[in-house]
Amino acid sequence: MLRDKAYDLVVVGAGPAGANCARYAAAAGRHVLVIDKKAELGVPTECSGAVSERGLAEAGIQPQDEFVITTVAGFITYANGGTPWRIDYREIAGRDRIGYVVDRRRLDTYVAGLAAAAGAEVALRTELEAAQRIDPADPAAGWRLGVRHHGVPLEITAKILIAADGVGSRLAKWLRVNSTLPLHEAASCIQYEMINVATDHLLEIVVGQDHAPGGYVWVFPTAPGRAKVGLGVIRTMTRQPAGRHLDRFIESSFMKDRFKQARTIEVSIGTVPLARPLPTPYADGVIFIGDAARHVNSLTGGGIHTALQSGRIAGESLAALWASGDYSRAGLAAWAATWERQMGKGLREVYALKTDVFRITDPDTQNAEIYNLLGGYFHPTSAHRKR
Amino acid sequence: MEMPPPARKLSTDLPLVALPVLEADGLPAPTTTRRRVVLSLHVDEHRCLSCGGCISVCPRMAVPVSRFNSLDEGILCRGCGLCVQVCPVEALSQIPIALTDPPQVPAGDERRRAARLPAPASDEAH
Repeated sequence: MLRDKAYDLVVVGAGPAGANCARYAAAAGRHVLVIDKKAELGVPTECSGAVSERGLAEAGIQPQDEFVITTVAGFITYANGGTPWRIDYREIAGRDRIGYVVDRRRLDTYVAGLAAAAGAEVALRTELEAAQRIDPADPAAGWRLGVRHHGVPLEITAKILIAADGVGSRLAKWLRVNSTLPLHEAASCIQYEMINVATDHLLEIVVGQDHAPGGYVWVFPTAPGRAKVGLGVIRTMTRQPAGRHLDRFIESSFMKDRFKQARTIEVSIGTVPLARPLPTPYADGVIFIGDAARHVNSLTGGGIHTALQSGRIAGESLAALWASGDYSRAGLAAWAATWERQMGKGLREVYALKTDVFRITDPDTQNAEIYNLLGGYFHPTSAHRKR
Repeated sequence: MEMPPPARKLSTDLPLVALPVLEADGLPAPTTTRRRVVLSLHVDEHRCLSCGGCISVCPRMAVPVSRFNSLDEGILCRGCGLCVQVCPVEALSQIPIALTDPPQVPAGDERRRAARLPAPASDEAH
């Protein structure tokens, strides 16, 4: 049973964005409930789990053995034909790590734990079924919410609703926020966890239309001898679904010898929004964060630290604007401005880079440009590296 | 690792979008007849891994996958097929189905209401 009936904030979705938002808002004294329809945190895993050290730090998360599978020391970007571009920070900067591959189940559990420790209530297997404004004429009056908690229908109230319900945000659709992802910006991803794949703490990325039209292939280290091998494709650029592309990459690409002994032990799939952030991710008494608001690096597809960070910004700024009592669209604009300053500008810049490179029509030029763009992006001198 | 082609069988117990009345022999009618043929969405639950990609690209919020608990408003589907394309594991397919009785499609306000969040069932709350 839920502990209360009236909350300041109700966060829908207990992923990294929602949980981190709840953590910061609760730490600032707000009465927060996080709900998620799932019974377990972090599953199904729709994510490769790569996150930079700086990204975690900016979101206020210290790396823990609990969720770190392995450390990452650099990148190898392969061109369409297989030419590698190796950027190993152990060699060029003497740093043994610049990031991590994390276990999303454990990371999500850890962040939800931080939220609960800060005083937020986390309720899984709790689904939002209905939402009504208490007073349609007064945007600050808040929401009357119907939730199904462990199968039992309950009615609760919230001043502000936070939609952190992921790429297929139902809340956005209910509230008539146009969040439909255009097909040409929906990276359709599939990933195998494979054994017998040698790795060396480097994130390996293969670009090029031959392998992953519109996206890239990744080979990320996990446990010794194991790797996550996956790819994302844009379905307007290929006739085949992602799974066929990945099988073909493993069986017949320039890297095929490496996968001779490899065996798949797990399959996960997902959709990554490679879109620009929602232009106005808020309305009276409701804000959108994380994948639901397209808070994703649309060049790399990285979404863990962007979600965590957008959660932190939302939690901090909502708590700060609480004193004003203005939860209307106008009041929430203060949060949006803070978010824009800290994250929005950077995300829009990488979106512009990605859009430009996919406008190139000649395939060879495009492959080369993507190679330069992504390889250069991972270089220590990159202006965008910090995002 | 080659995946078999998507299932194409027709039967009335499949999760169907438009809840159509099948022809007596269960086969799609030729499109040359004047009977209405709709593209019905079939979800292969054995392949689906619940990633929700189909829902994220659906312009009408019509993907009828009960495990996502989306609104059971199959009537909203217009057969654009974006969901079929975005699915990484070929769990979705479109099957042409002939209707003997065209579905009652609500118009105007009725249809908009169907897409809206239902009101809370306050009398059930406890």
